[in-house]
Amino acid sequence: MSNEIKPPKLADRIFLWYCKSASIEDIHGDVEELFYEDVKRHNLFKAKLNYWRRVVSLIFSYAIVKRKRNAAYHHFSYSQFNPAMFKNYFKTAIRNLSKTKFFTTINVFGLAVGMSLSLLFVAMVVFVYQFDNFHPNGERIYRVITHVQDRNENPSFASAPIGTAQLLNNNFSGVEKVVRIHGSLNHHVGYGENKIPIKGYFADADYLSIFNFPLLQGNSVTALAKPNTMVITEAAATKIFGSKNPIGELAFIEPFGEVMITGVAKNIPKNSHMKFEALVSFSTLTSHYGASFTDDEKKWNNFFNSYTYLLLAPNASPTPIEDFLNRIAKEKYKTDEFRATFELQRLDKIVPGPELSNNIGHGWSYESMVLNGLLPFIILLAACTNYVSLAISQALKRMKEIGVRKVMGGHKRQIFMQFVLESTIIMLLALSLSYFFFELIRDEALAISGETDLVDLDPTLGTYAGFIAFAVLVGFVSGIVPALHFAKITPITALKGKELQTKKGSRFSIRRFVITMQFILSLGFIMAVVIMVQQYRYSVNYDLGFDQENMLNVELQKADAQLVKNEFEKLSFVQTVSMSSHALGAGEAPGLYVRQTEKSDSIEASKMSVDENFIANMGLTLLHGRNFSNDSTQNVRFIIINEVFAKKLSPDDVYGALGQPIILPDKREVRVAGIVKDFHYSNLTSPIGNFFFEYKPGDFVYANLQLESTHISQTFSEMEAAWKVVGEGDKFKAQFLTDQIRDAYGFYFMIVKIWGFLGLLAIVVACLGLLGTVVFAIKNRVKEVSIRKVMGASSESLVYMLSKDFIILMVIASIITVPTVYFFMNWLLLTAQYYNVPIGAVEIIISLSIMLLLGMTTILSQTLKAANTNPVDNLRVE
Amino acid sequence: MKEYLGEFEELVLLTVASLTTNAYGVSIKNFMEQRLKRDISIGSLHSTITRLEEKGYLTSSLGEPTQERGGRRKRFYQVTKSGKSALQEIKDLRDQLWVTAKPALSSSK
Repeated sequence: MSNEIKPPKLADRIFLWYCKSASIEDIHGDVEELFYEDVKRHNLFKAKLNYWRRVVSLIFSYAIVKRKRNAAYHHFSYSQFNPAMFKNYFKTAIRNLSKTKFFTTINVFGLAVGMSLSLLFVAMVVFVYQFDNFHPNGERIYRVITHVQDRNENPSFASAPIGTAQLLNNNFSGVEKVVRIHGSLNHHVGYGENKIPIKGYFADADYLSIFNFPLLQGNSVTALAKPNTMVITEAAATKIFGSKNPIGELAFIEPFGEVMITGVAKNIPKNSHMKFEALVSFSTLTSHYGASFTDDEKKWNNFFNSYTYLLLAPNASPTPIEDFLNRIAKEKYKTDEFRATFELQRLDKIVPGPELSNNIGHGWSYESMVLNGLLPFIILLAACTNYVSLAISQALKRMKEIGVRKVMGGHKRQIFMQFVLESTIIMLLALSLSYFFFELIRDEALAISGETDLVDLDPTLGTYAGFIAFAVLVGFVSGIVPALHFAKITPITALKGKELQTKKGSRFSIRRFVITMQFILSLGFIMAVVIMVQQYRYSVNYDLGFDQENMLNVELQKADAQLVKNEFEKLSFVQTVSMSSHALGAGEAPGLYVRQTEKSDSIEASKMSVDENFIANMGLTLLHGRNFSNDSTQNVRFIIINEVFAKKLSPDDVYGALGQPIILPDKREVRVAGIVKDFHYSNLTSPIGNFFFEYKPGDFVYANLQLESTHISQTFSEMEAAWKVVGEGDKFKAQFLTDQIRDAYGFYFMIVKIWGFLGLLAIVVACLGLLGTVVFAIKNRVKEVSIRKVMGASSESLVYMLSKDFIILMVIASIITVPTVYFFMNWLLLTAQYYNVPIGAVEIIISLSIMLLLGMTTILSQTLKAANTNPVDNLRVE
Repeated sequence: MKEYLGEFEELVLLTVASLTTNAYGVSIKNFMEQRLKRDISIGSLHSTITRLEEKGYLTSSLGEPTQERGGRRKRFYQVTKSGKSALQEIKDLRDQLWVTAKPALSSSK
């Protein structure tokens, strides 16, 4: 036999694995000795077979059981929950952290900064996972969702045909209650003279008994039983009726007429996916539209507003109901173009849940949560890599300790545990600091995301538990790399302290990589912010083709346009007054489709309603034709168009557009009276398109006042006095056009704020990491530097020598980042804003110098210190 | 309380005693197999040894590393004082029983 004669490997392995740390050396020797005897006496096969047999008999024998049990209590051996060792790790960790205060501070601060955003995210996740957890029957409540296969996109909807509810309502066994919900409720409720915006939907009477939305007043069983009845929340009640008792009051809802308030519900908590301000009885719909509203077969194909919620009987399974619905679906949907299947979705699976169209309220899908978590994760990753690289770079100091531990019988797993524990402690320290950051940025973050009404990030017990779990998890994960690194070390090399020299090259490159990545990240954010600020400034100062200085837009509200005009023209500092339906240049002009003749293709255009003074008031140039006249009855029949539109109407001769007929969407035929020079009626995100002015006093929203004075504070009080005469009790609301235009670019500000903050975090994390690495590198070279100095090296050359490595990293980061960000931002700007300023060298230089300044300060602060110390201090020790 | 000594345990104990300084797993097994003329599973042998150790009738010590066992050491067993007295006791009991049973045994011949 060519092979060496040896016991079967697999049996050996199984045996050793099974025995774990128990000492079975003698028994193992016995079986091997017996094996060789067998080989001599019988053949190899028989010997192997016997070996297997013996191993199996040993595994089941009392001898091994006993030895394993002994091993578990042996004082040199590892046990998972050994409180004494745990205490020791804790003590070592604390001592080590307080011994290296500098690195601990850097780590804790960096991690706290990096964590702050993640805490926001954790708080959000905790909030989202508490959605709709206050319904006592929650685990029995299901909603019917629809998966549509239409050969293209196969969307899934949160809504379902009314028919599903109708069919299930006929006492399908296992279904206790069915609630139909319809989202077609008008968004305004009329009361007296006022129209109040209200969000809500139609629902069956059982709605209030299935869901836990308690009524403060009214009977929850009967409140929604009759047609034209409505339940509103406390907040809505105050909004509509003020302090009056709302019960029995009548409100007006188009087109159903008067609706009586039969109940007042407690305000809906933020963590519900079906928030409402008003519920109108479903029978309102059926009594107004007749039975066809629910029974029409077309409703099986058109169900964008209807929802079906079920309360199953206790212990009932949703599967038979699903099967039943899908049998129906097969009957109803026979064409290949539109097929659908239904699924029952339990209440707790709705938010967070899969992405669905047509949600009844605001919720979070898994996808949106992952997207939200991405940026915090990147920042946290940067902070954690810092920790890892710093922890590994300190390996030399810990070498002896680890060596001694190993010689004394420390297992790999114990060393691993120790370092993981250490990183968890650091993470918990960072968490407590990070919590302050979290409190600082919480409200601002909500305000930026515009979700103040939808998200509640006030920390609860659950949030704190989430934070701690998060910190422990991050601690464990980021501890793995250094812990594995340390656990691998063999005691001999550890005690000899050779580790650093032998592996210096490879480890150093990991650290370099980390630093470079962090600077790429920081520089990327800085550049993006600088470019965005530049865009914003460019947009606001852009020549829009009309006067915006000293133009005050006064909201007309309920006031009569003519009266307002008369009143304000009396004021000495008001030069001219015009009327308009929108603020020019703020991106407000609405789009619509017009036709040249009844049969021609429609043309996309934007429009504004203005009066005859507007063009002159705004400093627009009328190129050809005439302005609106004083005769308002005549004006209605004309429009004034811009050059682009004129070219569209008559491509060869722009002036040929004059007098051409245009059919507006409301079927009115008007004629082109004049052509104005192109100007930016909308904002700069889209190119100048077809545009026209029409004369429609009913649409006027603003009075445009051209002011003379620069003493704004004084003029305002006079204007307020003038407003009192005509304002019908409303408050005086006015804004300068420049401010309105500025606001239109508010999204830049939002982006600058978010990215700026991310950039700040990234640069702080990167600089801290750099600082730690530089300090460490210098500490390792203290002797070298001192000797060089003694030998006559100048401070400058030493600074250069020490800084060189790191400066190279920053240069590499710049070389990678600048073109990447340049191309990305160019693409982004091209898609986001039509009239943009090309990214120039200035932006790149500014962002580079910000990064280099911070990075160089970090590096030089340490290298200078090292180069200028007295060499004697460092050499005298030996 | 006196520990009960089983038949197999007694045999193992006696084997260890007769092997004097060379009593370890394999030698005990071979010695017993020769005399008993049957196979002994190594698992049950070691289990019995472990039980005897627990009862305090055997002690053990590790020997020097050996070449033929993959460098693994042998564990040598020795009968303790209480082991010896337990053996003695069971022999005395048997002897007494033999004495009382002798007339009947010989008469049936």
